[in-house]
Amino acid sequence: MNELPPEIAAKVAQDVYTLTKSDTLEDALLTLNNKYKGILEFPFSEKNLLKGKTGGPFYIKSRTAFGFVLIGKGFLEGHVLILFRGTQYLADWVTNLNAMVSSSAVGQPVHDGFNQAFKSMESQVNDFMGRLTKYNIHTINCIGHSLGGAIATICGEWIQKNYKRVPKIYTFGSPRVGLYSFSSMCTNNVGSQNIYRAHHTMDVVTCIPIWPFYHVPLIGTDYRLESPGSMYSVMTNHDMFEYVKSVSGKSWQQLSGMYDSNTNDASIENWLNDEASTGLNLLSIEWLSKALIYVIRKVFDGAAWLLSKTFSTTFTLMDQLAYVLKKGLDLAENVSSWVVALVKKIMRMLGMGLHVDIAEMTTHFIRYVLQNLQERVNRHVRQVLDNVLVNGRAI
Amino acid sequence: MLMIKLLILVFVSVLSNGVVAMGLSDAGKVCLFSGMSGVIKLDGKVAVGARLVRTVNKEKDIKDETTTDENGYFEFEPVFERTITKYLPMEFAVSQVIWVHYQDKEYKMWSGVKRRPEENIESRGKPLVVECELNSEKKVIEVNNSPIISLCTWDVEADPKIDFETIMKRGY
Repeated sequence: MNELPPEIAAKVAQDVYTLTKSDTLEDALLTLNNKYKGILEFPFSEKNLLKGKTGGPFYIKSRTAFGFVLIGKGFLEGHVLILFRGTQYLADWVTNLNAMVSSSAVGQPVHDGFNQAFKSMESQVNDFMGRLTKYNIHTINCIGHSLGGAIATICGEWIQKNYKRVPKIYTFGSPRVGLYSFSSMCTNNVGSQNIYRAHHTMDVVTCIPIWPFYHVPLIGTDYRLESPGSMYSVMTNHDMFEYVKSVSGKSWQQLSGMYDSNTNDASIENWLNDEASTGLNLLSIEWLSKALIYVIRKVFDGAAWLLSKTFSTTFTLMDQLAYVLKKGLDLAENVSSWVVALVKKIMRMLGMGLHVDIAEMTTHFIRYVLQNLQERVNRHVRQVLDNVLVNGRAI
Repeated sequence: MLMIKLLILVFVSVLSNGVVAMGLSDAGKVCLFSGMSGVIKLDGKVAVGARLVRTVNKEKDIKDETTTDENGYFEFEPVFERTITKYLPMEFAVSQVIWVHYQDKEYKMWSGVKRRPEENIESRGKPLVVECELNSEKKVIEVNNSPIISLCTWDVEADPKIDFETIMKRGY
């Protein structure tokens, strides 16, 4: 069995914060040996202390340790662990919010902040990978929590592309890493069975950046864990200590059965057709982002010519989205019905009246609904974060 | 490609509306180093007038120092910080170091990483009262997932050892 059990993956994701915060490398080594003696070792001197840059283009950048690489021994012989640290510093947190997109190893769009964090360590990972030949390695594990999970995902894709080796990727509370095409290609290249994404259902970090960013794997199993706190327990739900508690004593198979996380096309269609009242919450936002992409894809599939028309004007983005969806309404029923379902679903989520038929769904109207949605989603996420700060003041 | 462009534009639009902008002015209280007292000895004899320099680092170094009295006794006040990080989804990890300067020699008495924001987690809630022998071997102990490498002993039980081999064999 080459996969790491959830508890081991979580423990090392937790301990990478400790290792990178140790006063000296010697102290980190003592700490590592105290817990993992005979199981995990530093492979070679200071080379294994990966250093990364933090901070976005508008913030002061500093160099700081970001991760470790470890070689397995004993019953972990043949394993390599590449560990990345998450948001420990405020500057990192700001980086997380400071997003544009840039190209991943296979040329797909990923969050630029995450990508730059990985790129700042790429040469060291490359150096490390080059030295691996002297070890008899069968499994490369990329592991991280929070920002570290996003970097681990980008690193995994990079290893697959550059070394033609299929890594295993373990993430806990990772934000969304890239756009649809990245998630799709990464899932295909690495294989959904090699990607272990564990997340508490109410972990707000996993909801950012908001659509159109997607999680990896796009299809297959993700490991949804019951949240230890309420929706407003931002810290608790994202805490790596809580992730360790949530997965300890359970196998991946047991964790996969905790929640039905199947979101294939059929389940998206079911969700769109479900007329039950749906509030705006972290889960429904996640579903909505999947449904939106699904419907846009259907429209483009049904009218490829639309691609050349779109973006040829000076319309705003919201206008263009509304334009694409409106064009979808004019297509065959197997496309238009999904546009109608999407618009109605959004209206239900927003608590808007449903007395509108297809003829009334003008570009202007669709744009109005989308605009409302965007404002409400923004407000919702802000509320979650603000509530945290209000609680802080109260204490 | 146009699909990607569309998705990028959607994202940029969302972000430009400041979805995740928030005020960073609020504050909460976290403990970076619990209050500590104790006795310093060298070869079993109390170290009088030893200078202890403490450095705490969360994002930046905070330094202070104290000196042992005629009984080798010292006290450090707890170090607190008001920070929003207690309430944001960020991992808490604080480096703690104490160097002792005594009789022209330096001893690294304490080097730890505090992983929880509560006070006295280094001693499981009790006051942190240590006895340190400068000529002893470094000991590593993990308490509440916070490793401490020190020349000291105090009343605390280490975290139980994890049987990784069994976990690996069973898959959980």
